[in-house]
Amino acid sequence: MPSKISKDLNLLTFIETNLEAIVVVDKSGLVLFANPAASRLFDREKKELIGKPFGFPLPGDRIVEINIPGKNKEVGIAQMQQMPIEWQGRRAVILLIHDISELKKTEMLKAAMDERRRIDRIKNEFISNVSHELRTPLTSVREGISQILEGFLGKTTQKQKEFLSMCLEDIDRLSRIIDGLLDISRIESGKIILKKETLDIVELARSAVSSLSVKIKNKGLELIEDFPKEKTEIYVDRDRIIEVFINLLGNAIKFTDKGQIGVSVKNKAKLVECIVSDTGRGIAKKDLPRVFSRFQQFGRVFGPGEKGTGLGLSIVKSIIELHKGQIRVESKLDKGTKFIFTLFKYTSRELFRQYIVDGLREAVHNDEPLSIFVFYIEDFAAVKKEFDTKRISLLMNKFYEIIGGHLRRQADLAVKDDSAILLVLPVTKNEYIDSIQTRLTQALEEYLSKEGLDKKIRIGCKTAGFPRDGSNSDVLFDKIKEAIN
Amino acid sequence: MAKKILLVDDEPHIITMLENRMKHEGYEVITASDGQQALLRAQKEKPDLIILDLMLPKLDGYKVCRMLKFDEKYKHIPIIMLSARAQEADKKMGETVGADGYVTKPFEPQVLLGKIKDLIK
Repeated sequence: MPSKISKDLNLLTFIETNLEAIVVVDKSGLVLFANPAASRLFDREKKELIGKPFGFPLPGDRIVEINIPGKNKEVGIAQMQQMPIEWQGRRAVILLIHDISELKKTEMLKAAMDERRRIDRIKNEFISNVSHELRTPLTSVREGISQILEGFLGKTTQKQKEFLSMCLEDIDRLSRIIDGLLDISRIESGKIILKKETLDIVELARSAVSSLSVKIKNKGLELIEDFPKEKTEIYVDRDRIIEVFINLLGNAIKFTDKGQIGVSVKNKAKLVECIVSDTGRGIAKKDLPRVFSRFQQFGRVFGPGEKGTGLGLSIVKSIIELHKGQIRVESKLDKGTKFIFTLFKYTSRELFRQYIVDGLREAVHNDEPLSIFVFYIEDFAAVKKEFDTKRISLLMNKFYEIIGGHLRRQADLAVKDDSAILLVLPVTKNEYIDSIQTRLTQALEEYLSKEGLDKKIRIGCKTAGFPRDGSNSDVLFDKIKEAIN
Repeated sequence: MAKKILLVDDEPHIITMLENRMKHEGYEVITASDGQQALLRAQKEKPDLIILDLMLPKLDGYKVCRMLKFDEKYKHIPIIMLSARAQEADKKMGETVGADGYVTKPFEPQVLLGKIKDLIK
């Protein structure tokens, strides 16, 4: 029996205000009713719809997909199904039309992304194989030239030696290009897992500067450093960030004949900004957009010195992006160049979360368990009122020391903020979580009672384990997040 | 008496050149061009050191290395892996099977010779 919808006011309101498009069509195919959602979907005013032919074949008892050409927007896709009804005393059909344009768009986007990933993978495997195949013949070429140069095969003239040395230099450059390509392909295929730690960025910058200071001095350039006085801690891969500094500094030195090389670190509220600048040759405005592209070399000089590979800045950009940071360049021809990159500073909450995400990825990858603990000061707000910040900070340092003393393996990790210490133990079986928790809590409480603080400060602990609590980092984080301020 | 080095590589050019360099350095050189031959020569001639390529026909370098390192009679022979595979994972694999050194191709002669001198005492 068709239902008599038109007499039921509640139902009418329901249809009128429904977010799904609803249209009523009579036997001859003329539209009797369209709700506002239908107007939006078809991109037509109500009066443009009602009394006009509906224009789509009725679906019968199937669900069909229809293409909706909008007046102002692109073609949409919707699913439509029908039901018979009685509308103002007439037999009619009610149509439910569900817009699936967004869904389709996402599906198409996903398919395109999958395809891109597949192509990337093939490309990277190809690069990796080619690199290997190139190295083998390069080995005998290099070794042959080396031996002639060293005089194993008879006397060579000065001129011959000069030419052979040039060959050797270029073989080494080719070899560096191959290394660079491999590096890029590994970064892009996600095969590089960053080994992130909490580090002082200034220390990383200094380490890069010191390995290049001789070059700076030899060129007669002045080095200007501008670093914050306070420790500027950041969660990054040590070797990779040093590589970034070395790359940028190396470029700065190469393209600067007189003046200064500047390295600075600015500690901002949510991020750290690092700048490597020079007073060198600069990059022409038209070349700036391509600075980070592969095999782009500008202002190449004719003469001696190690030639570039054209891959350095592309690798730098990839490394910064792997750290979810950003890099940009500012330059004026003949005035100098400035590379600015920013790295995100994690709040302790984000940092703890990141430690869990990274630890879990490693654990899943190695098919090993992961045990996570957060020891924290309970009712921290009250404790903060009673003790000054310095006292609490000393106490936290002591706690950190006690917990650190219990780390067994090299991969075991502990990080702290003002009120909590996160302990991540890879490999440690989940069955041991309870006993470790008890042992460490006891150790901390013993210290508190020794200091006569056991009445005023209580220690809490939250734990999570993979696989005990699941293999999703959000779930694991949820188990311990209460413990973090 | 000259120390004996077993050189294993399936690239004849590399064998020729390395052999020349090693002889020049005063070493006695024997060679093999696949994994099986390498294993046999190592067992029969007991060299003082082996320079071993990774990608070899019949038996790859990892397997050769493992079979020698897990055998009481030969495990004292130092092995240097010489490979065009330069990724961390490859080096790690070399360590796992007990190689004493890992040098990537193309190599700096001084680096390779230095490693040999360190290991061959």
